[in-house]
Amino acid sequence: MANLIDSGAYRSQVKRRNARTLIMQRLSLATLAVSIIVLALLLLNVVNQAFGLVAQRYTVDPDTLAERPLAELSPPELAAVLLEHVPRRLLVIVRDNLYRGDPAAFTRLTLGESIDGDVPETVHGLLPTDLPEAERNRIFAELLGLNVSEDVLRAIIDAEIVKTEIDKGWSLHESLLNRAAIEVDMLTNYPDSELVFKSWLDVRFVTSQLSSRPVETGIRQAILGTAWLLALTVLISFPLGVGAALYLEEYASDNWFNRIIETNIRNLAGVPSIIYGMLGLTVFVRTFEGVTGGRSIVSGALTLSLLILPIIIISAREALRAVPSSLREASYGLGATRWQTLSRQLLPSALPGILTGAILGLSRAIGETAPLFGIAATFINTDPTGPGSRFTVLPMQIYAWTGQPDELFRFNASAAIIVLMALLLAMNSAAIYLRNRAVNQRV
Amino acid sequence: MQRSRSYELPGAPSLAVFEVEDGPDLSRRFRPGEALIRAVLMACGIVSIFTTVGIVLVLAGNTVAFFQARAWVLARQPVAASEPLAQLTTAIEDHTISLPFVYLADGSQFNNQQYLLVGSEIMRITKRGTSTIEVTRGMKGTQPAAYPAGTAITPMTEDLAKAAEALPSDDTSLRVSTGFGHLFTPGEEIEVDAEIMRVSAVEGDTLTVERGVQGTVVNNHTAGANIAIPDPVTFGEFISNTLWQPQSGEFGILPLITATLLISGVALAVAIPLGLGAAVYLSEYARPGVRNALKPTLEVLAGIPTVVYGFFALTFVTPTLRNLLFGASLNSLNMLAAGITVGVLITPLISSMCEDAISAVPRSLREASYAVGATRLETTVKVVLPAAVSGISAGIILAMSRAVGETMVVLLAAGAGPNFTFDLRQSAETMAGHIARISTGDISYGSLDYTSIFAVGMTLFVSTLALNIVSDLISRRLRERY
Repeated sequence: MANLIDSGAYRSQVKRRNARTLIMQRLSLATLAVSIIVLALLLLNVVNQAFGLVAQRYTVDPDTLAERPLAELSPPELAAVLLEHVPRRLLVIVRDNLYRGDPAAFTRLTLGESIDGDVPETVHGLLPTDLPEAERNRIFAELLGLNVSEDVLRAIIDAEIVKTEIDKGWSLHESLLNRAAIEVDMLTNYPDSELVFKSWLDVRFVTSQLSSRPVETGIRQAILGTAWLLALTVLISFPLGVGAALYLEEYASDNWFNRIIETNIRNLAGVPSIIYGMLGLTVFVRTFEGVTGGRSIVSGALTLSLLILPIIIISAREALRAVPSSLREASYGLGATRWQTLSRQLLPSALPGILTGAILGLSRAIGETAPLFGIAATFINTDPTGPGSRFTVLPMQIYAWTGQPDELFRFNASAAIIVLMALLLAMNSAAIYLRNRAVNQRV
Repeated sequence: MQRSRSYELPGAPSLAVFEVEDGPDLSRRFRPGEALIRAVLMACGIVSIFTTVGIVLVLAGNTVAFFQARAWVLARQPVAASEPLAQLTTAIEDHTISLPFVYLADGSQFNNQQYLLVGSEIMRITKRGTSTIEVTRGMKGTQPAAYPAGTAITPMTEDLAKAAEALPSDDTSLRVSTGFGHLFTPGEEIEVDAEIMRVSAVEGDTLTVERGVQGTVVNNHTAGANIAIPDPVTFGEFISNTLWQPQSGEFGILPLITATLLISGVALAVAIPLGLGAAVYLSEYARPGVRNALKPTLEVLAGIPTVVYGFFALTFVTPTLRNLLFGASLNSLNMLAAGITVGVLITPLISSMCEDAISAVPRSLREASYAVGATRLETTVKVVLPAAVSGISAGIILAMSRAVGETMVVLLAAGAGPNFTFDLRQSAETMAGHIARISTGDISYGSLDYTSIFAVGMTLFVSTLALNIVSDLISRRLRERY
């Protein structure tokens, strides 16, 4: 035996076998490394297209509009710039920014009735059509200066006078490493444009309206729509999910009916999200159109709630199961009823776990696009005002822009992805914080 | 009279049985508040059943409506052009489907799906090349035969059957374009400008019709009005036709299914090695510190919205594949990039399920293996993986179900139209992608196009459900074993 172990053949065999183990270890590490690299590529690819050089030109150079740079002007001065350059557009600008109602009725109302904001006493009772044009435009400019913020006025000036056009955009990668080639391209193809570095993601992008022009579009409606949808989805799915979990964990006896509910929830978790979309489209949008208002936020929230219910139920059940049974027994031992035990002992101690699951479910919901096809709009330029309004959401805009033939929209899509991912990161950090707090408390 | 009774506390271990003196039985007292709460919570649980019932009813109801509906397709037949367009360069047998040809004049070209007349046989192009075309032989009741080199190939255009002369509302005799009479059979219904008629007799090109059946209004029709014949959607056609063209009444789900399977296949080919490798590394080789540092990466991958993966596939994977491997032969929308990206998307699912399965293998098995002198690799490959195989396969099947139902990546990266092809470089549309594209469009509710997506949805639902159930059964077997 000793001879066998000492023999060269045995040693070399062991060596070979150990070498194979090492190879296997490295291979399996490599597969993990591939996943990490792909994740890095995915994130870099988004950042790569959210910033970069653009070939930009103006119809009117913004520096020639006033004596000082536009960024330093006050609202009345900005309104004066509009009065000077585009007097005929003022009626439309005032109507779009200071009036909420039927556009056709605007000129039939007095300024006091129609304008949403401060109106000087002297013009309160005037009808826009009664005044001579010069006088009317002066009053409109005054109203704009009084009621509209500098940022919005600058955006209006950009859209109405400056009219920034972007001929071509380059990715960050090209902008940094290939500047010479870009300059040659500029000289040959876009001699009238100037080369500037543009961050597609900026405050203006987050706060301004959706538009069909990639250079001036924002994601305001999409962010508001996502917020509304999220709020309603929480209100619907959280009570239902926790209720179902409490029933299954604490009340349900082991009979055929409850087993069906359990199996059913497991199976629902595996149904493709697009099927939920068909359900929502048929039931909430069409059959109950009178209640939900058709393609409204309520319909979207109901659909998403059904989608994430299984996630919330399954994680809430796990959280309830993790509560030590001594707590239950102590409560029952003191003569508490079942609901008293649940509401005062079980729920508070399981709450961090339940919330973690709910947040994870919600972060699934805000990233979902497929179930909202046919329910959310792809383009809309009015803010959602209530549960019954039409809406769009961030992932829907990302999808719509990614599929656009105009490649400039890709830059918008990237910027919107960064906003969406930041939102998700915030939600997941909250979930991790809650999970850690729960773990610490239990110890 | 003292009597004692034993009580069992709800939720307490059975040991906690104690005896009390007889008194009011508190546990059996009717508490309306408690009963109400129980009922409300139970209702919450039942919502999930309603969801399933809703899904099944919506899908099944519309699917039944789809199979009962009939599409009206314009009656048409191929008519040969006056001049041949090309000729055969070599002789062909009666079973040759790939015809070598040369155009007779520069600049001429065949169309896709076009009918051709060769000798007296009608063929239809399935794939068009520059020097060969692939065809279906012996169409429209003609017999395949062998032809010598130089035989002329005449393209055919599909002519529509039209009313040859005006049809006043009191006339029951409809004359159709010359040579089209054989398209109609007595007893069948036809549609002319929204009026449905029943054909009672056919004589040459003259049809005797019963006007305004099915409650439609009898109208005057002008000469040249198009005549449509019913094309009911049968289940047989649905599962065997390789063409999905709602506008011409072709509803074959095969192109959607092949694209779904191909993309899922590519996805699994990417995800199984990546996911299994990561699971093996994390559970067998990594030290706890490394493990805690690396595992969140996979969780982050799992949390990224699918639309972002779609963006990645379209703006990174496809251009990269083009630059590195395929060049221009890769369509800008293609199944390969979509499949690879879906593979990355399902990797976290596979790795987490595989890791669970591997860590469920008892320690004693590994220790026994080490004790008889096996190395780590041998223990992993010959002991741990076989013992965990049911959990691993359950994970893989679940991931496949996820890949089959994945929508956004395939919608953005794979294509915007059904395409029956096995070439991964081509664009094609999966079941989920097709449903998504049609539901965003402006197709009116109740139309055949619209109900058709429910038949596709039913197929998708049933196949993912079957995969989920199989996965569930397998993983349950695992739980029973240890």
